[in-house]
Amino acid sequence: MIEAHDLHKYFGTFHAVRGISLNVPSGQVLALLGPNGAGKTTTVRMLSAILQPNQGSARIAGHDVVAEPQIVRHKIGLLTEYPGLYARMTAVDYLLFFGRLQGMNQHDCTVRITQLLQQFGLWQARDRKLDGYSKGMKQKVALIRAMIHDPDVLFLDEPTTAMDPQSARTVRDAIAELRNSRRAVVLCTHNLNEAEELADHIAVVRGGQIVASGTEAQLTHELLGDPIWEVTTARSLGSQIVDLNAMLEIEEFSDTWLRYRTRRPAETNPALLRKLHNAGVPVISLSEVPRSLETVYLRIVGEDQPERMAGVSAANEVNA
Amino acid sequence: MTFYPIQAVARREMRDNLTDWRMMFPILILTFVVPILILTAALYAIDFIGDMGTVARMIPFGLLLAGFLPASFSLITALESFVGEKERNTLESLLAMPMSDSELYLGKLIAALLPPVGSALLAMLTFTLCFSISSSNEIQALVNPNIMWLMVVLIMVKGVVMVAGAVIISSHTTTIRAANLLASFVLVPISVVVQLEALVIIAQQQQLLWNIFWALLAIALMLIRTGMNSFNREEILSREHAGFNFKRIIWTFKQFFSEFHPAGIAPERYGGKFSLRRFYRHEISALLHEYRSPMILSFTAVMTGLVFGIFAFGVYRAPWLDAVIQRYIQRPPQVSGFVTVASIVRNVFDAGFSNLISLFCFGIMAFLVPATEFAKLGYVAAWNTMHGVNPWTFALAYILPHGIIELPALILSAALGIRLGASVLYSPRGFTIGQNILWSLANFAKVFVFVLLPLFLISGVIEGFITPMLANAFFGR
Repeated sequence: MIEAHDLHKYFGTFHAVRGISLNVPSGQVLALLGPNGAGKTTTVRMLSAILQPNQGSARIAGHDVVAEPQIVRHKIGLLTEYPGLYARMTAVDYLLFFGRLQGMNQHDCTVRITQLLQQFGLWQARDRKLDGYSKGMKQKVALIRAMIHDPDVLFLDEPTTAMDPQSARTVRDAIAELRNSRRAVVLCTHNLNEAEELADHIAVVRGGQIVASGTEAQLTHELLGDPIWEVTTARSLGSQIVDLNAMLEIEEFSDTWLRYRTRRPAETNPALLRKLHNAGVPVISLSEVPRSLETVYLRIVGEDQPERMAGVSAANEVNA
Repeated sequence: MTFYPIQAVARREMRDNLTDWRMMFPILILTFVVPILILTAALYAIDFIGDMGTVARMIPFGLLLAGFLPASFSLITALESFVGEKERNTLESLLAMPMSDSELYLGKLIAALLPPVGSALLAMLTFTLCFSISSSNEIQALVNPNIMWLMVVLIMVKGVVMVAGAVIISSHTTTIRAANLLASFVLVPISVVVQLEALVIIAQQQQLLWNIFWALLAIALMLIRTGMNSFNREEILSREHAGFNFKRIIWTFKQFFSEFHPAGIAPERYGGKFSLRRFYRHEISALLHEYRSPMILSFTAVMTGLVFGIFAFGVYRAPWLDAVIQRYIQRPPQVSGFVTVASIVRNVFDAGFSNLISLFCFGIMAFLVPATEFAKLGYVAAWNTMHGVNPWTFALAYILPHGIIELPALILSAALGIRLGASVLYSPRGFTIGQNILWSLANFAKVFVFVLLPLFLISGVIEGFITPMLANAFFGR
């Protein structure tokens, strides 16, 4: 659905995007993560046929972004970084304006607006001027604007910014629904929990390049190594530590707990439990230590040389 | 191009503006109150002077003023059309819609155009109605209805010029503040035109007013064309990254100067260093090929000038030129270093000054220089024929020796100037307007220094030292 190959974008001498390749099939959500100024918005603008790449090519739903920009713009829905609404219009008039520009007829547009305003809880406020809306409501209207013509592809830049938890949940549910209805979604976000929850694939952009990509599990494994497990015991491990060190890759330990890495928990964990049982050490718990996407992200963007991350996972190329 | 997006953009924008009382209140005052005040003042002035003849001058001027004020106030909306949306972050969602750049631009232009033109028309209607109600038939009979209609079309065309200029400014600036500052480039020249019109109204030169109308109409069409050609969504969003960067401008100019590539090749793709050998051997021919359209225009200027000069002799006499020709034939010039220097300075000034001025008048000045030079030649040829002097002999003795170098150099110079002037109207694919101007300037600078200057030096030396000898050989006593 979204295919981009070796995209480059210069603004004068500033090389904003340096060879980004993406492939997002329908029914997939790709999260683009990265610090401000990393090149996410420029990439999205090129894929939305608003900016032309200086090098490389991209196709959206089979249409070239340079050769067929108007078709591409019809195939996509874009939620921009700022909602940017016309303050003196009502929500209905505003959405009608954009729906009609997308080529919808008045009747279909009205039906769709009604459905979406109800879905996002804005129906009661439909005839109020947009400058009276809260930030979260404005964000929802902007999202409806992107979805109004039921596009095949959605580019969503910070979709839940400024929303209360309930509204954010509504929007996340809507994005999940889009994935289920076979839409391709690119999500630019700084909210890592959101990316974790929604994305099938994650790409970290830095300095105009994709410095790491993969599923959350792949990224975590590649960057943080094998999973870490923790066992807590009711009695002191004492001299057992020496024996355990021979069979486990121990990370940390104290008197009554132990952390170790293992690539094969199905084999290692039962063996460990057996050993502790035989030694008469009662086990209180055994669980995997959770590792957040935030840790992974900070590890990536904290890296001094982006090129060094290239080996992490198909650098600059994302196949979602 | 489809009509619906244009209509939708224009309608939304107009509705937005017309429902804002902060905009509407002053427009209504300027449309319905100020014209009455102007009329009252005009009638009072006529009464005060006590000369009924002033009616014919004061009333049309009052009408012009009544229309101009609301038209110029409404510029605010035109200046905001793009940059205002950009500042309010509403532009990107509009740029993401499936409509072409031209459709978006036209929608914005129409939205910016209708309120000023409409309010100006209403203001003039208010003025005229009040005039017909409040004044006697005797006074009304003193006003020429034709000149009143002329005022209406003059205001309309000025409105279009101002709005088209303002929309260009709006689509090429990054802040409303910058747009407002640049608006003086529209308002100041238009104010000068209004003052000029006032003088012409007082002088009651109706034909001259029509000439002003046609000139303004041509400028309005050029500005609309320029706006449509120079607008693209890429440029607007790219400008977020590009402030005014003097170093960058110098760098781009140097790139274009260093080697020649056809227009549209990005400066980043220029790699070579400047080579005079390469310039003479390869680049000058490629440059002339690239400049074939301006060369044709320049040649058209030459032929037009020549024909105009010949015909002008039949209907108009330039006594100063007659005297110069007569003196030259009776007393051919002597060999002189002063003539050489004067010729070089004149040509350098003509080529340099007219071409740089062309940048600000769409190349018109560059077109006029060879046209004027050849008009003089046409006049001289006609004069000679009339006075029994063989024009060919005259040309062979006085013009051809240095003219064979000087005249083609002037034609080439004019082509460079025409291209420079046109660079603000249209940029080829791959170039921004700024790059197009710098490309034209770099080519002009290169050709001026390495081609025109040597040619002017040679022709100057010939004009000072060889032409006089030939002239004396043919016409000396």
